[in-house]
Amino acid sequence: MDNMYTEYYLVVDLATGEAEEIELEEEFVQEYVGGAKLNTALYEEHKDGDPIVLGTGLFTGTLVPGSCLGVMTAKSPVTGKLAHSPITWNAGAELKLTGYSFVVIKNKAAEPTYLWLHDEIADFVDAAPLWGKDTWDVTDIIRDEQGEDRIQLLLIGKAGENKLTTSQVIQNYWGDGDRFGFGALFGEKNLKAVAMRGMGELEVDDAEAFLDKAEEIFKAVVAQVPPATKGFDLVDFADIPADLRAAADKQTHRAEADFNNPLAYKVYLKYREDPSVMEMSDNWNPGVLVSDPIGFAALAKAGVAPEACGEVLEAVFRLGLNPVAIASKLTAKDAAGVIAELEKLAESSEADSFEALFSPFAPASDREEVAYIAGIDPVLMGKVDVLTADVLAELASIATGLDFEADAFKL
Amino acid sequence: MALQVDPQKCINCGACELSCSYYRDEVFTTMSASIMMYREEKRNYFGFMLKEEDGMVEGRPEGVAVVKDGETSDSDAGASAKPILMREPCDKCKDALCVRFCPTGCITEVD
Repeated sequence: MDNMYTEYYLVVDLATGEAEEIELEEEFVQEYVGGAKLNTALYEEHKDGDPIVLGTGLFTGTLVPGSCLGVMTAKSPVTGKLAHSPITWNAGAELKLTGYSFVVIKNKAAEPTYLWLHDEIADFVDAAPLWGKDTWDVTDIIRDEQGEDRIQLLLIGKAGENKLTTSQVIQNYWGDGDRFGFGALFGEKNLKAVAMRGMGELEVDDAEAFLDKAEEIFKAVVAQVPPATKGFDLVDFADIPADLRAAADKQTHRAEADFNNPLAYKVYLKYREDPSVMEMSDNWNPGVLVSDPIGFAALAKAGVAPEACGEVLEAVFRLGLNPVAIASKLTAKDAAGVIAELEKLAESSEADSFEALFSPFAPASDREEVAYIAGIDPVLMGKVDVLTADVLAELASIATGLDFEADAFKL
Repeated sequence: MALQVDPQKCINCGACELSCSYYRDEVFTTMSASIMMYREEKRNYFGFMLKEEDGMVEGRPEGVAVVKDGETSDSDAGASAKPILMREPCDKCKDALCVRFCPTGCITEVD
């Protein structure tokens, strides 16, 4: 299809082990555009199977700046309502390139399973040997098993296996934006992971006009975001306490960006070796990526010693916990003490309920729903004023040959 | 025209890989570019490989290395970027998209 989506979406029934390809019709794209909006339509259609819908925005995986975003939509065990969680980093684009722009995962597998999506193929793989293992080990094992370092995973640790509302779905090794306890839904479905790798191609209706407009937007965005490659200067939205910032600065290695995101706000900390070393480390686990700055700050605000927050964040991610949900339950200060508490929290703990449709992973923005429908990183969206519904509607019309107005980017 | 790279400015966003593929095929993919990202994710070791007519430019975190055809790289950097060996080399196009869409100035054009 020449509308930047794949030809098909996928409906997976974990109970029967069957996956059905369904054509993604142009009328459906015209009506629901994509991301959270199209996910919601698919959720309603398959509601009986308590589905998790993984979806992409219209611009996910394209040259529009910040086009990393995928969206996970399901009924939240925390809020009790439909909710949308961001899939940042690289899994959003990778999902689209598997050949399935949207994947509905419904019902429950009889045994632990992981779903392996690659090049328009969906494999159900026995995950019994992975059950009980932490997210870092499972990511290593699946990448090794399938022979590809660029496989992107959404997966759970012990907290998700135990169906806790304090759990979250992890992306590869790092926490993403799941504040809604979707990890518990993975656990309920006996779904350890969704692994993705694709060699797809996304076609555009008017390729030349799209490029011109995308470049115009790119230049305007880059003029508003500094091209930082190191440090927490871009992370002002997370309200990081001064003592945590001072400790983290001493551990800072390099900053990294999501797929095609000019805003490199994810800072890697090294606390098991000299952070100034740029050469390949002999240590396989030298540190952690602060992929969730607000969750990182929550640990320090809860009293965890600033210099221990990186190592604690690693343990949170390995266990598949939500740092914001468990922070208030911590009493220890030092890394060893907190990590011992985390092990217990991953066996049994409960998140405080709150009201939200979109994850508070990113700062609130009046264009949040635009980001979640278009497939643009919500953090970038909150930082720049040029990615408006009007601008994106014009670009969407160029890209698809359909006719979109700004209102299309409202739920 | 040639490309000059400063890998310490790289943020591993992959815009170069995406835009080079678009230049070649007018589709969004990561599969046909002459430049390919690599990442040792847990160790935060990342960079890119640029295929040229007579060899490979390795943009490593510690600096640039040029490995001519017939030579062996002294690093195992970029193991995940091995498919680059099967790709078309950079044709040194003018006004290159990889330069235009690089947000940090990591890739620039020089005469």
